[in-house]
Amino acid sequence: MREKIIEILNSIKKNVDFENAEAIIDDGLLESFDIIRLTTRLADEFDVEFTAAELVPENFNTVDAITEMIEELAE
Amino acid sequence: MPLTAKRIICFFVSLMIILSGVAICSVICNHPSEDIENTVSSFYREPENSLDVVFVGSSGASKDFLPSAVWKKTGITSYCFALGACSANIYYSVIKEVLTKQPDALLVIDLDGFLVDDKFQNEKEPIMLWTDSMPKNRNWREVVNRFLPDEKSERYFEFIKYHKNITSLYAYLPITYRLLNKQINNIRDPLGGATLNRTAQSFADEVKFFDYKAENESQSLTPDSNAVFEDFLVFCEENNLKNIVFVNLPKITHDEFSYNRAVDYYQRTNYIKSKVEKYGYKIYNYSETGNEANLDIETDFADTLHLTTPGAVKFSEAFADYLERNYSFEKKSPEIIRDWNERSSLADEIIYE
Amino acid sequence: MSYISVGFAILTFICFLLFYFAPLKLKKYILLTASCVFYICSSKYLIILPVVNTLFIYFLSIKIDKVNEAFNAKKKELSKEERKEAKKQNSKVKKRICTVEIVLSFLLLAVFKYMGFFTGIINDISESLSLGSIPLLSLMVPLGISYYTLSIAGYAIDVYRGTLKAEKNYCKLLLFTVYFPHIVEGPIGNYKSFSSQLDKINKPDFETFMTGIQIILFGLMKKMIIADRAGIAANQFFDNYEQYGFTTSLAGMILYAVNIYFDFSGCIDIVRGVSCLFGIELPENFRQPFFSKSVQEFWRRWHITLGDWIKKYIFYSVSMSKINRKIISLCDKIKNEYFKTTVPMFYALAFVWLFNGIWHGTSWKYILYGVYYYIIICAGLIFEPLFEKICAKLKINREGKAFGIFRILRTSVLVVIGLTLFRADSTYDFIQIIKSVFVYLDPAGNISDYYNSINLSLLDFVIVVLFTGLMFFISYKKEKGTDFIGWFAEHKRARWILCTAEILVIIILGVYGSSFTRLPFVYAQF
Repeated sequence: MREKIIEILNSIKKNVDFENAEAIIDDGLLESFDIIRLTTRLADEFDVEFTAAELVPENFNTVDAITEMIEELAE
Repeated sequence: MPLTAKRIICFFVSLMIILSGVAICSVICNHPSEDIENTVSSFYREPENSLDVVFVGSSGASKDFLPSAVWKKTGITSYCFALGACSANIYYSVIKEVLTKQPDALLVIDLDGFLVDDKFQNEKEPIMLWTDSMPKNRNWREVVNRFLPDEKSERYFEFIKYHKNITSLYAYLPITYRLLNKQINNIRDPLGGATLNRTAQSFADEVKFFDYKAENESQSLTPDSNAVFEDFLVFCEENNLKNIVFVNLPKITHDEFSYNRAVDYYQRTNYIKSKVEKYGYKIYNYSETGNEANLDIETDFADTLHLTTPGAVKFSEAFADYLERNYSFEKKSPEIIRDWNERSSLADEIIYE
Repeated sequence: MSYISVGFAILTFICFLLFYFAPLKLKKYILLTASCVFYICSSKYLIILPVVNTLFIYFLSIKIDKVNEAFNAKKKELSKEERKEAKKQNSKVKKRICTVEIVLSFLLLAVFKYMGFFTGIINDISESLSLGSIPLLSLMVPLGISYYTLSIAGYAIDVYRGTLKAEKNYCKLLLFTVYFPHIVEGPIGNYKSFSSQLDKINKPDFETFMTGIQIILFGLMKKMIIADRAGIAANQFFDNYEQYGFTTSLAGMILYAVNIYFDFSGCIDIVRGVSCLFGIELPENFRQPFFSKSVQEFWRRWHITLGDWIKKYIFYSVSMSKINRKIISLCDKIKNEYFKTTVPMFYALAFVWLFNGIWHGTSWKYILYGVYYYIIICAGLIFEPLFEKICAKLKINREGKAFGIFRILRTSVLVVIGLTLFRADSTYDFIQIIKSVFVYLDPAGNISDYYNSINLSLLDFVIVVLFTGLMFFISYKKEKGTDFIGWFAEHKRARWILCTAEILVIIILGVYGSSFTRLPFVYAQF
């Protein structure tokens, strides 16, 4: 799952090292439009439904956080 | 040194620097009007009880009355304590200041202040020009409390109003220099408080000299002006002022508006005459003198209500003759004569430059 | 009570003294009292509105929390199916409660601020149908209603979403709503950071105090020296734009941008500085906005808290809604990967910009203002791939310095045009002003005629230009990462000299007193 997420991230924004990033939102690597694109693609890819409550920086700051969030949503 | 003490010292040093900076800027900026400030501050430099006549009024008087011309013609000492744009409601306050230094002077009052329509009686700006130029004494406090209760903060801290002048530094530095120089060197104004107007009128319409004469025509003053006038009479009574001459200054007309206004002023002067006769006050209505100063319409008038410098010389001489005919003045000692002759020649240098 | 008034200075001074000497437990109540006093001075009995608004949000948020607690207590006993069903039921209940909270809050805002606008629309329609008209009710607008409604609504939505636990202390929540530094012009509060700072509240030390003073002085300089001076010219220009040609029109538009930027950011600085005195750091509202390379970036650097609020509570909410999901599935048919994910955003963006426009004012002009940015941003998104191709073909380095400067200038031009629309008295006036820049020549005259014609003396104009240049330099340094506050904290003598010089300059060059017309805070009418 992790690799797929990184692949999607790279397709939204090129030339950024998402794998090792520790503050994707806080450092401004992704901004609001990118977040929406990301959630659309992730929702499509992993068949989960996002709500606005999930769109907080803590859930998107690292690839691990994103992975965890999707796993929770999938339940 | 403990930290708190250091901080307190720093705070006070800052405060001193700021206050000094503001004080210096205040000296440069706090100038409501150079002419008015000059007229007011020079008055206090005149020796006590040295003036026979003091003319109190507004812009008409400040342009029309020249103490140096009066002296040369008749040897009467005088001062033109007239503030441009002044309203009659503060005449009493000006007279209070006059009485502190010249209690026996004959008071000449410019009637224009009472003759104007109401909308000119309630202007705050002219009152502010007076309060911002006069000494900050009890009289000042009374005027501020009575007429400018909403603008008190700016009267006490004039810098609030005038600090804008810092952006016209190039104009205000010379003004500050001139006024400070006179103050420090105790220089009395050679013109005796008068201001000069060198440009003659150039009305396109037909200009006429206002030579109205109709003793029975009378018109009461407009309500606010009347209230101010009544208050003024009460003030004169309370202060036991025996000798007052009211003057309706020379006027010309060039259109219907200026003619009608001059008629109004004339009729209101007659009304005032009827009111003040019982006090023994006199009225000098120039339009009834048959132009005794021989004023020339082309050169002697700056506009319908003010004279030019040559006109002022002529009018002052004629008026001085009137004063000489109707009042007696003390003989002057040789020192005073010398002193005033010197002043006159200094004034002439300015007038005839 | 204006933030620049003797009254406010006295209130802050007394509040600070009481706050400093009060026991720890009472400190927040001192702030609450001062805030209520401040509110009553400005809006008198209308303080009842934020009090009541906060009260029902307080109770309803606690109710939402109770629903969560009940679920958490029971969930271990339930099976997976039952848990899902219970969660769904709870969701519905919580949504209903939250909807009531939001509808009530915004209804109050609509009644007190937009009544005139709505009755105007109704009358326009009914008059055109010859049905007569209803009387225009115009109520007194409570202080800061546009700001505190958003703050308190944000809190309510955060509790609903589960990112925040409901506040049990009503006074804390009320303080957040009416806190006197941020009630008039923002920054729009974030309850999490506000309450956590309130919990850590303590006696302010000297460094905190000096930081606060520095920020206040900086804000005062911006507002009183630059903003109000530029405002004299801008007001003269916008009130009489017909008389001016190309150069003065351009100057008028730019001076307005200078005016509103330094006015708003200066006020925010004063407010943040005052709050800093009490040890509460309010969020930044400006981050060198005129260094933005795109309009999107501009709205992340200008009025940051408003942009953040709209993003969190409107953009994300609409983007995650059912209708939006339907739009996304419709757009699935688009083959291009980029447009597949971009086109659905236009729906949410419409809500964003409509809200932004109407929040700023009660007239069609403001809605047009929102639409203006909507069109620019959508156009930017649509043409993005095309621009990339063109730049690649022309071998332009999009990340390079030269292109960066071009982008900054382009953004500034678009923003200045937007601000002209914002300030113009009507859409018609806006069009005329833009015309005068492109169509009308200047009337003949010297240079001095130009700045004199917009009521500025030479020195006034020089002061605006010099201080704006100084601020530009400081902003540039900040962009590169310089921490001025930190530097001055280490160089105390320089700090002391700076503060003394700033106070002197503000007193001497500040625009105040009857010889200037007092200019009210531009953003305080919201």
